[in-house]
Amino acid sequence: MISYPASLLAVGGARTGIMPVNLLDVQDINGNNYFWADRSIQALSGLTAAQATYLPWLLSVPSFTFNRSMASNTGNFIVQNISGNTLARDLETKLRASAMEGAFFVYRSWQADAEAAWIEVHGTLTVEGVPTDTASFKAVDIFNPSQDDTPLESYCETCQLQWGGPRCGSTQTTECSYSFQSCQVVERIMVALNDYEKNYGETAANSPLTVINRSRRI
Amino acid sequence: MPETDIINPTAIWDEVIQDSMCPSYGFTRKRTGTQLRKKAVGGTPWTRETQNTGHSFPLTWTGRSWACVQKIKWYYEQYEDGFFTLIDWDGGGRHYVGHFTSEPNIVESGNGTFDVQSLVFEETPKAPMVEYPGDWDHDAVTFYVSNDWKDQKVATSGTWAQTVRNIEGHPQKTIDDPGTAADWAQFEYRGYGFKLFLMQGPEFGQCQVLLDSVLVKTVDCYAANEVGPQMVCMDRNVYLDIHRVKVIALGTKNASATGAAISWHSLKVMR
Repeated sequence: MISYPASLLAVGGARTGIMPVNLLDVQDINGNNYFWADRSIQALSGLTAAQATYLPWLLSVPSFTFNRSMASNTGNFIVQNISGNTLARDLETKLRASAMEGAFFVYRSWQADAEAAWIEVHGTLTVEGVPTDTASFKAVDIFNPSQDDTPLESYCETCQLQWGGPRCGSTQTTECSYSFQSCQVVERIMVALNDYEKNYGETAANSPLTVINRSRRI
Repeated sequence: MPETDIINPTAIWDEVIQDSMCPSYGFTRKRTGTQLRKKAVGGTPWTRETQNTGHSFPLTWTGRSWACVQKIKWYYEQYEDGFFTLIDWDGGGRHYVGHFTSEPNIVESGNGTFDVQSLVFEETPKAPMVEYPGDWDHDAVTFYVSNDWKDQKVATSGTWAQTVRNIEGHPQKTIDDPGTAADWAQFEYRGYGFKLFLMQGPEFGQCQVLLDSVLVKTVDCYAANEVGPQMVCMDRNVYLDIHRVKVIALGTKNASATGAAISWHSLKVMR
């Protein structure tokens, strides 16, 4: 459950009021911070937790659909690409100075009088397109399994945990063979448990599953 | 400083253009809608201010000299994407900064006389002004601790609590803090300048007043006797926008005070 600060609860539900302001904090891969909003305002930054001056560059914000599953939450932010001088637009100089690809963002629907956010989304940006007068950034939340090209662990008969590591928990002096038979903390082992042919001299697991013939010993 | 360029600096006859730059009598002062309004069939209306826009005037100049209408055209061209000042001499001399939203349609209506009909002057938010609006009796509105539906409107952080006080014979709500340092209360509004009213008396302490996160004044709410809500801070020179007035309790007090409490009564806002 999301717990809101008392300042937000007191005025947020009032029948009259000023609408929340959309705040977008962006940190590019060089560490430069940008603060954009749909109206100029001084507010606490979601990146630095200090007071920041937000420029009124944000033209539209996405309606995020929170999937609550492995599916990524995505949306598009549109910022203005008009301001600048005769040589370069402000946004162009920022895009040229550093890559926005993969920039970290914090988006908040900010109730300015209560100095608190109704919604806060963290993720990374991808430059979708820079038409003549706007720029579109695709936002993807941080949890994005499709970006993992080297899975940390695979589910197999060899234990994936590092012997003696925090997840293994073994305190013995001799390293195991990363097998069920040699496991020293069997309640934490991370393998696919199978039953083995008697011929190969097993330590029977307490999982009477389908018997599988193995041509190798692990 | 385009705001110092006033299209009609005086209401009198201008010898140079052989006319007056003031628009013809009878124009209306309108305010463009700023609210999102929703209402369930059997419920009360819900509103949210979504815009920071101000007034607009549909103006007409009839039977004017060529020099006069040429000057109107010049103001349109010069400030098409900027702003200049218009003075509403008939409406008390209030200043407005803005621009014409469309090209003036100059029509010759007689021998050497010209008409400009329905030219809209639209106020520009966030623009500085030569003279900020100051008719607090007629143009300002007051926001209390709660709105008319009794919903709390002052956002608070800390140990603030609503209190009903007898003020000039009527029960009125204030929102009070015992004087804990760094406790704050804040109100957000659309408009120009503001007047802040806090309770003053022997038990009240000191606080800071901020406008849009910038310190305006440090206030001492101590008074030898209970004097009720008093205007402790005023800032007239504020441009049209959505603003926030914040009171931060300091936890300090006058040497003669019995406490350091802070009590918010109301905020008067120029519209």
